[in-house]
Amino acid sequence: MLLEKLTSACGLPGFEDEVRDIIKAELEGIVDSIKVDRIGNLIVTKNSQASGTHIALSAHMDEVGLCVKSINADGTIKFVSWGVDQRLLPSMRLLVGEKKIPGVIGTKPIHLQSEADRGSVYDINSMFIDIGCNKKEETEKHVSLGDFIAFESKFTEFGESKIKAKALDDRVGCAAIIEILKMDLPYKMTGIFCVQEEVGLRGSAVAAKGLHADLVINFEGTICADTEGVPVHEHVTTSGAGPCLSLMDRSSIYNKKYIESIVAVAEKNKIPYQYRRTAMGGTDAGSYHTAGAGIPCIGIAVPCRYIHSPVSVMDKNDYENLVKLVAQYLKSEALTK
Amino acid sequence: MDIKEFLKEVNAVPHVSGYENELTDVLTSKFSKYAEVSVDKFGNLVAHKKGTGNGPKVMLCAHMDEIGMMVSALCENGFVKFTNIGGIDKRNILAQEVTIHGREKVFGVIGIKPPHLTSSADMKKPVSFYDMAIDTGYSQEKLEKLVRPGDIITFNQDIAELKGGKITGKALDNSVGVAAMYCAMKNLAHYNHNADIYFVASAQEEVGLRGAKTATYNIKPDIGIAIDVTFGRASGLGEHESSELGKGPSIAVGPGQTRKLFNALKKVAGNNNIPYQVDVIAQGGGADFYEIQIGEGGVISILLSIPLKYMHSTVETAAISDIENCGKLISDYIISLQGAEEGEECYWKN
Repeated sequence: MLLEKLTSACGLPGFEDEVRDIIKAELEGIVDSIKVDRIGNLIVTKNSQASGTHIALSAHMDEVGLCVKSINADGTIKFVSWGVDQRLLPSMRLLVGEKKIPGVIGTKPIHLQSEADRGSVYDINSMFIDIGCNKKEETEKHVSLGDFIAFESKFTEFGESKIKAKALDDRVGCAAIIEILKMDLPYKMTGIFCVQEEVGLRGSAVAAKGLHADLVINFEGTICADTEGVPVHEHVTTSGAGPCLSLMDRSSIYNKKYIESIVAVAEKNKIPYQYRRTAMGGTDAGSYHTAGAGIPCIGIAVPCRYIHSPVSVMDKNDYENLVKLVAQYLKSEALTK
Repeated sequence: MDIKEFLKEVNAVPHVSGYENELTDVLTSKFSKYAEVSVDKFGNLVAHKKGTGNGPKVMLCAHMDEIGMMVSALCENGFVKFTNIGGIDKRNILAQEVTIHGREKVFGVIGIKPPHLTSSADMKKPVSFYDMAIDTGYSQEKLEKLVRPGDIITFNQDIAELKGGKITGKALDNSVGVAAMYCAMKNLAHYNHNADIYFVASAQEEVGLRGAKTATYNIKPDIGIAIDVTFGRASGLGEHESSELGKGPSIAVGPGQTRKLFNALKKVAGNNNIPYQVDVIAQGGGADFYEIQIGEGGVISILLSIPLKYMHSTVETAAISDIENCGKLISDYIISLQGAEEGEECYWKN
């Protein structure tokens, strides 16, 4: 399964090579051209000779994780994180660097904790990663400063229709674009697989320059808090209720005309959809909507519970309906008018 | 002996306190090649290997239960509330994967409300067990057919190798102790020892040393050796409260531990070039040793431990060599009893 292959690969910001190689291999012979720009974005074109509306499909290849900051005398590793909730780090199993050296974040045994310890959360600055080496010199044989550190998590199908994996944000987007590019659709299309979204939309800032598309559809995995004990107005999205369309977030307000046109297609074809019910977060649409004279954007996403963790959870039906909705949209008359 | 393989087999079956039966089956099939195996009324597995006579009755005891959880309630949308069995640190189980042992095995993850929906004050407080829930991905209706309150929950974590001869996983407390005991059993396979040996994989240690209590009553040993884990040194733990991984098993010493047995084990280690450390325990209470010591009129007894980092977590870490050396220390000690049947050396006799 494509999504399993994509989520099993590691692609920390600036180290997206493994993911990029999988996408390239998937699209060889399917698209007209494949190129990698100077920052590392993978850009492909399809029906490049077609006239009329030019659609860009964008997703990011990178995932959140950690990075080696220093090595202690006792061989353990200090790290920095991008966007990881520190409460999830204790007892996490990790893969360090390109050689994917296994490591763990261990904590003080409960037997030795004081009352004060038990009443506080573990501070990321006091955590360390243990790869088994007892000395700095031994660790240095396997690990270098600046090495990326990824979550270790096996792709697992569970429940009625759920998937658990790391990096669903945004390998679901990558997988969806690959599937859509494999379909026979009439438009001139550019597929953009960006680097470094998680560290501030860096890849799309480059990809947006010189992009002369009429519309960008940005694919994401997004927040979903429809879990036990969370009041409904804080859910943001609902797992299993269909792909979600963004109205606004911190990086952009999505073009209302296009939102309405894709909603019309969903309703006509009886494909479930929902709105993303928050203005928080940000996506690569932030780069595209003000590029050049401005490119209108649609933001569409699969709800992911426990996003930015090793155990992100999504519903297979949401993914399938997302692909179906975008495919129907690209077959509809909506974009030719 | 392939210790890693053994640990993987133990890890593959649930063995939460009071629910050790699947592990009992696994261990029975292994131990019965070397000794006569029975399971007592309490649930302890006892493997008896007869001695040639005149030697002491020795009880080796490693607890086989693991910490875990239990379903307390089913909520809407397939979420499960739970309570702990044994000492679990609520701060290191978020985003962990679990199996609920219901009518079927049900996979789940312990979820958390996203940080952006959590107040900065709450971000500084640990999430309590009561506020956590397991996400099973089922609707409540389907889940009710599979899971009931009272079902046992285990953490999912396979055994992985780290650098430097270390292994990591869950429930190494006390699968490493059972592994050391099994090493000793294998080392003694073709040896005619005078000691009458009872290898006990005890039940319910994690909830109060209960199996060791009943096993000691049944066996009435002259000498008791508990095999468990001790705090492995890691950042934040000093020399006074931890043992180093890879430097050999820790032999406990303190008011409870029989000094003559302590000295005898040190001598055996020295004679056989087995590395060891000394674990000074002024006052304890958290291992089978404490029940063995005061069982049946008092037992000459001691605690041997394998250093374990990050105890009671899913990333417990131990050194393979410590397990091997602990097993060797035990079997060499048994061999050392040969010929010591009378006089000064027989400290187990009154």
